[in-house]
Amino acid sequence: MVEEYSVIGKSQPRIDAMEKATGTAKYLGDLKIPGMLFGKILRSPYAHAKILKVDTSRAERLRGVRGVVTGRDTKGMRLCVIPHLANKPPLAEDRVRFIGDEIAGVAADSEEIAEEALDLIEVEYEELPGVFDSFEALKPGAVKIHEEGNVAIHISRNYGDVEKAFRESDHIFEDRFETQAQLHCCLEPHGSIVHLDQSGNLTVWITTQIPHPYRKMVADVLGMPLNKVRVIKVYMGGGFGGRFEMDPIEIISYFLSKKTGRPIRIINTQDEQFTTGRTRYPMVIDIKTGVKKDGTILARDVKVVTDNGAYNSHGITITMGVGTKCTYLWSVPNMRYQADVVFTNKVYGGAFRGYGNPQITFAIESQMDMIAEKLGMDAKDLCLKNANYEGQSTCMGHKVTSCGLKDCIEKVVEAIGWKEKRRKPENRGVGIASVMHTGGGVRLLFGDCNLSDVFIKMNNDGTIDLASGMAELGQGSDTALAQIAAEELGLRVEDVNVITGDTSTTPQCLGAWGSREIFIAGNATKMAAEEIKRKLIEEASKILEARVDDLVARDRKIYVRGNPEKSVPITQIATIWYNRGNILAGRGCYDDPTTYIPDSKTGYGGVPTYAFGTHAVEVEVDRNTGRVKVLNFIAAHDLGKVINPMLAEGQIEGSALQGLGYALSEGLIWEEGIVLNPNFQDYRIFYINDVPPMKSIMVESVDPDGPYGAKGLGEPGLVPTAGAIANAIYDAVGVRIKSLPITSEKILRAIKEKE
Amino acid sequence: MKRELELKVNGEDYTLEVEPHRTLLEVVRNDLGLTGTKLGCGGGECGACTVILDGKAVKSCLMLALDAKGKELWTIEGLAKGGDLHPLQRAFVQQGAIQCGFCTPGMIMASKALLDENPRPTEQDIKDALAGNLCRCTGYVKILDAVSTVASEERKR
Amino acid sequence: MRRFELLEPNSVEEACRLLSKHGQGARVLAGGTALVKLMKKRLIHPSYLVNIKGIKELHFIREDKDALKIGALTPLREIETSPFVRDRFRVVTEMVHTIGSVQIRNVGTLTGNLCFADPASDPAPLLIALEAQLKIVGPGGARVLSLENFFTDFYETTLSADEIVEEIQIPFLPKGSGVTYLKHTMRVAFDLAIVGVAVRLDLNLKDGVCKDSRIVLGGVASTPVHTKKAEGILKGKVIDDSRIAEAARAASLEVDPIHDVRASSEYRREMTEVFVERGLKQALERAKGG
Repeated sequence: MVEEYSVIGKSQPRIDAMEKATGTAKYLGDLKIPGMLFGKILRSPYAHAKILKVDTSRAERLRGVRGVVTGRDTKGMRLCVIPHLANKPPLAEDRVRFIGDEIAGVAADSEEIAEEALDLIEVEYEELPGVFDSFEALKPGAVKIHEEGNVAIHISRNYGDVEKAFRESDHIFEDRFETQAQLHCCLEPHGSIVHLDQSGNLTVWITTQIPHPYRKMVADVLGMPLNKVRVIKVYMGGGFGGRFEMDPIEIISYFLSKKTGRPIRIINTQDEQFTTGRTRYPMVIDIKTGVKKDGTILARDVKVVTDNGAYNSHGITITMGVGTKCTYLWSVPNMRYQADVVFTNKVYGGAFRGYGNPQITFAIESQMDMIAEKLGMDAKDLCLKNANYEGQSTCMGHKVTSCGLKDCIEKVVEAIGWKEKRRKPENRGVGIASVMHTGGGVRLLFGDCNLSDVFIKMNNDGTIDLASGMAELGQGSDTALAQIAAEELGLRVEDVNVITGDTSTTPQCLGAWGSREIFIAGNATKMAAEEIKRKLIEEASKILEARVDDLVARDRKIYVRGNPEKSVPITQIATIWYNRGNILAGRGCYDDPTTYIPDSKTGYGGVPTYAFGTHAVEVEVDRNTGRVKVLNFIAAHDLGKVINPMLAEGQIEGSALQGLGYALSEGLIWEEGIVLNPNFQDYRIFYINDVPPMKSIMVESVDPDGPYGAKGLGEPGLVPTAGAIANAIYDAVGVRIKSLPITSEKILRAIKEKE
Repeated sequence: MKRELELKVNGEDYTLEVEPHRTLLEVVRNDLGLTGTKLGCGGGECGACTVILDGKAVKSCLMLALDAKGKELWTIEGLAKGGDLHPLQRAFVQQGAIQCGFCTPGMIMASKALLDENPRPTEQDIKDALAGNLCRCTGYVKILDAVSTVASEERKR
Repeated sequence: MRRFELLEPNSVEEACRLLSKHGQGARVLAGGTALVKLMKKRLIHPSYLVNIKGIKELHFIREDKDALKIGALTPLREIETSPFVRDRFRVVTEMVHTIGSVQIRNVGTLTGNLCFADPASDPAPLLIALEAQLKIVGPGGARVLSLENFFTDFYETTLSADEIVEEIQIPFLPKGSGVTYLKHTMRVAFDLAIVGVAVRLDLNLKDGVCKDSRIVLGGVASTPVHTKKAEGILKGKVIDDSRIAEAARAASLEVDPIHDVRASSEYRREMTEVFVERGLKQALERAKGG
């Protein structure tokens, strides 16, 4: 039976759009907290050095300076989103390990004075040799960045028997791929306002994707009870994974607040953001794949070296995740994975949309294209032959529930004009690449759970307040939750007041990452709404003298299915309950049971659901300049049931352009640890004139476990782009570029070498 | 030493006392409390600070406040009239041209300056007007759609 | 930004006097888009800013008998949208359109761009190819300087601390001239030139012989490069594809390109050849009346 939803599947404008369009939405820099002081951080100018002495006395004497803190104040503390890997001191104690490493914090009456004070802090350094390349750092005798050495972790995984599979292969492909440090480039730089008040309550106003886990991180590091810590996520100018951990800024601010008794605001400049903000981890990937001559993929052997930067953040979990992702696409039955996460004297990476998948997918999809050519197969046929499918179990034991991959491939191939354009002369070409990604988070971070709690209370006029610990970054999760609640309760979206982001007023949730918002929080919302709906229907059945099973909620009333005149307004029921002194409230707690390591009995494990997609691009390459023009871009994504087509499209379009930037243009350029392009101009981010004609196709493989069949979309949108571009360029001018970004210079050089 | 700065902001007259080294952006946000205009990069590369000065779109982070002396300034807060959204604001809301919203005020003001000067721009005219405004969330597609909608509504009139 | 004192002269003489008085501690403020950015980045710290925006006589676009004259305070956007300019120098309109974004062009001036002397400046190579001159005023009086002799190094010109550029003079082109400006960037707009190529051909329309030419490169060195050897290949000859290719190759060998985050010197050299060739073809078409 095809259900016609009243709100689900509708292109509803986002519920916070008005505030943003009128300039009334307050972001961190717009807030005025009484008594607020302004802070600045002194950062190391050296990539690697010993700190012999820090003298802040002159800075402290400057008029308007209210407090100065150094490593003496934060001694012994170590930060990392994964606590047992923590090795970043909030302020340097005896050593600095990258240019930008925090040394001191100053709080003053104005940013100007704080800035002046930084110049008055005297630091004596003993410069040390630095190591800036992960392979150099791996060499014996290399400069040691940390006591334990330069390898943060070595990962080794084995599924099936790759050696046997290679022996059975007709062809073996071995290639190396390299990826760069991409930056989130949020328009709003990172920052926080931190206040430890006289009662010992700590309030942190911050742009964070994970209010509740973040609250715990802060409480744990500071040794405070959770009920004394309040985290308020404010309107955020972008996230993309860049706000997925605690930054030294907040801890430095805490100590400044402790010293001064005042709220402390520190916001990075964009220059600081470019030089000291988290990046996507650069990786060197060696991928060896064995196939039969009919195109069946038998084995994949992958070695990864991740450039961790100077300290631990998400590098280890991302690199572990890449190992898992090596088992994803194309139903590979045997997989071996080895990886080293290596320290270097550069800024350390962090989480970024895709969480390792963009890197490995670039490698896998480029190689697939090469495999197809060698086998004399059409690349799309090679993909279809090995495509993942519903009900499949990966070699790691992960179960695929819903899967629209084949659909995605077929749709983009048709839309791009594959047959007419593939392998044609001239300098134009088409390429495809696909993605398999988590669509509902994973039980890997923040304890053995993947949960979200939602409370809904219905007011006596039928409108509802919905509280969720989810974080709205701009991706539209607040609106999606409102739509789900409204649909379930028969209300309109404007009847829903969504409260998110404040840990004091919202229930537990792990936050926005892993494309989990709709799946996990959406399910919790649906459960909470269902609880209220049961009460409404029960009451209505008495009023209408109808059977509970015959009643539906829609258009702000409860009515008998097929007979809408026999109805009672929800307002009326709510008033009745209110007058009786009853509580019309619901709670939904959804904790996805999928364990990361597969259950030995059911064989089921991994992530709750997978999101799939395929990108097809058509490019034209100027042989004389190497310049690439993207003529057409088709993105098909399987996101289960689309809750809001307009918002989903917006996610696809936005992530596609980030993907194009990753493929063709973006990347930090370092020399001896110095960032040479710390601004939008030289970092080469794309603007409006760089956008190619784009089409989004939404494939709805209804997921059995997602709310209304929905699954996640936040990340997959930029994962396959680089592979599609690399493959299209090869189709156009016959050169294969295996390192990102694929710049004009690289293409030109390759063309000339070929001639 | 502070100097007097007289200017009209969103239709209202103001007299402020401002030091020469303050930028127009700082004065708008801190002295006038109009925080709708954003500080994105501070170097004229992102457009989040775009305001309209004497009818022209300018990047207020690169302008000294005193250079606005005697001029007429419009910021995002001045667009909606008595609760009615400006057509651009309505289009941005309705057509999904807003995600995180940080670039939105700058995008709308740059678009408004365009439409005030050229009520029937072509698609390329719109792209030219927004060439220096950065958005990291939307991929620009729906922003272009929203401005085009307002432009074509104008064409019908 | 560090504090400074803002001085607001009402005349050019007064401005020069103030500049003379404060020497290296003073800077001229016109549009300010480059100056304010430098000051915010703390790369320069002038104690005095001499704001010349009050000198209304410096804001004009005029036609003389033989030249177009643009006053120092004329914003780029005004030049971009001026029918005078488009009529006489369509190539200047095209070039100005590629500078920054509308917001920058509403405020920044052409003179300011030249005085800032960014090696990737778009106006510099084109105006040199057009044989533009600058009218410079100082305490000692006025002088006219060929733009070709204005630039000395990265961000440095021959302008003294007490001088102001009053106007830019662009002599009208003879019949049979074709000029083009090609800007090679990695993005479609709002980008700095990796290589900027200005090409001008003065043809004798009767026999198609090249009377004179100018090939000037921006973005490849610390200052614009005038490739005289390449021009020598064309002078007095009929321009055909092989001559164009020869000149383009010569131009690429005449430069010693810089290497920076935007491009390697090798790539700049290659692009010089590619774009000089394309520029010559386009200039030829325009010269013939295209």
